[in-house]
Amino acid sequence: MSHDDPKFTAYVLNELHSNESAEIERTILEHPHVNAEVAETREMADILRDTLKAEAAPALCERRRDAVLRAAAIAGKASQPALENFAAPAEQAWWQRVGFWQLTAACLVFGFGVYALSVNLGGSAQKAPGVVQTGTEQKVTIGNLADEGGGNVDSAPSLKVPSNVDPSGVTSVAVDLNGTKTNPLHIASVPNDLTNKLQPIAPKRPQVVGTNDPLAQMRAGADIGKVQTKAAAHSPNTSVPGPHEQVVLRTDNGEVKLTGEEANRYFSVREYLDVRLREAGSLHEGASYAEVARIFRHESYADGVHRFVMIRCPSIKVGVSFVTKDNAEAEWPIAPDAKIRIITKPYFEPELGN
Amino acid sequence: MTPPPATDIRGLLDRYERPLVRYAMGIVGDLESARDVVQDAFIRYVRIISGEEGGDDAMQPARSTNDAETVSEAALDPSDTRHIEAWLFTVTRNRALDHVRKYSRIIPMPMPEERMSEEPGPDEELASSDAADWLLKLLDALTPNQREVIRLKFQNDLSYKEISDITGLTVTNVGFLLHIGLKKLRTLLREAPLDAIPTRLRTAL
Repeated sequence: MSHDDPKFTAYVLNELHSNESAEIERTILEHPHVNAEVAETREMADILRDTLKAEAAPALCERRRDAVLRAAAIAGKASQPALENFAAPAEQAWWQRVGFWQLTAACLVFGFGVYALSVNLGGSAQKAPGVVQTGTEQKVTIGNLADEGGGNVDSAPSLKVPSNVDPSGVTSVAVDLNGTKTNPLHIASVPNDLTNKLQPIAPKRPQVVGTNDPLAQMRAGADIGKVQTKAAAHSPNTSVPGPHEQVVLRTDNGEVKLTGEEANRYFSVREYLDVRLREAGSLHEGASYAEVARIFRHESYADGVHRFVMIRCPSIKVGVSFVTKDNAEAEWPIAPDAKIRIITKPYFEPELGN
Repeated sequence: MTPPPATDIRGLLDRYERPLVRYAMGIVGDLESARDVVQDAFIRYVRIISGEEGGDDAMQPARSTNDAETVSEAALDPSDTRHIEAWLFTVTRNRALDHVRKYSRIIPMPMPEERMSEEPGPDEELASSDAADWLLKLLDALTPNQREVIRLKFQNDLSYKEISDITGLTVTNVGFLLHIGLKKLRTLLREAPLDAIPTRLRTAL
């Protein structure tokens, strides 16, 4: 064996099998200079270990830890512990707080609508065209969005109707949403059992769609459906663009370039790439939350399916249409009697400004 | 696969985020990018463990600036802690190399928190009695893959086999690189003026 054999280093680092170690030890005994070499290697290894372990090891920042925990909670499919862990972080950012309330609202809006209509309007007499059978795999689209020529619902995920709901009786969903800037969320008359079943597994960052000044863009009626980012092409698994990445938002009013850091203030890459939003209404100065919040949500629920809920204002209509595998559409007009009153926190807080 | 409870992820974060960020910093060179990379690795872990993503995709081979290649990310075994550790290092490494390739022409400005105090001038460097500084400077003289295996071995206590899994090098190659790397460090020490070498390092001569 050469005295310069990597096995001597492997011996120092306890990487040899016992028989190989025994051979090295015999060599060391027979050759004192080899013994000295091994001792020096051991000393260098100790120094390296001490030095490198003492080197600074920065942690992830809280925002990034949150992003990971969110991903875990979402992947956890309604794991209640995950939800609890997530719902009450020590200090929530504004968007976390708003995200939870709004997600809950969106969930309940959908849940209540489906429930109310399946109970009150169900029955063969009022079936919508293209009846959807319970439990079948379907694609869900938002009728209003498609009607506006968005054409942006191509990424609509599959939907499996919860087994406790017979969608064949559902003919419409309608929600009136009246908001103020100050009061906490309050939802009345939502059946607990359905609420629980539709409880999202974690709050998600709200889908703020906008540019440097989201409110101004929205007021201007921008088409914010076309969002591109270099990050998406490079690392599709990145949920948040890196600080040096550039995010490009293309709107009807032109192109706005943001740094990853700026973009992170509003949304994450994966999320906003899923967002497709069109808004035909008008806003005015000093609009309440309900008047400015146009959020097209794409959420995963406890049962692992995806649903879209579009919140609009002042009279928010959640148009839902199921499309079966055979492309048969079931569309439901808005029912006048399904109403949920939601009072929310303001969506745009001062820190979101330019 | 059973999705990971958030509590488990917290445990993994607590245990591995710092070593991984430190490791990624050694590749990408700045803290925020390293954090990007590590966040990505954890999110990928979550998605694979929950079945949202496949876990055995071969990564694109590197056209790299530091002659390292991304390696195939082996199927994840969530029941084996050591395997999770090696897997996280592998994914972190791959993401970091992707990052280096993408931003090889960009020299990022350091974030305030990663700025060191006053950097010593050349004379001060020579006179420095800080063994750690000395050693880290010596490490810079090694090849990237020698440096990498040394960090993985001594900073993270990984075995030859685990380093092999992470880097895609053979176990024999890992042993060779460590052997050569240690030898070169000792040679560099010998070549330095004895009175300039910190006492702690002289013991390795």
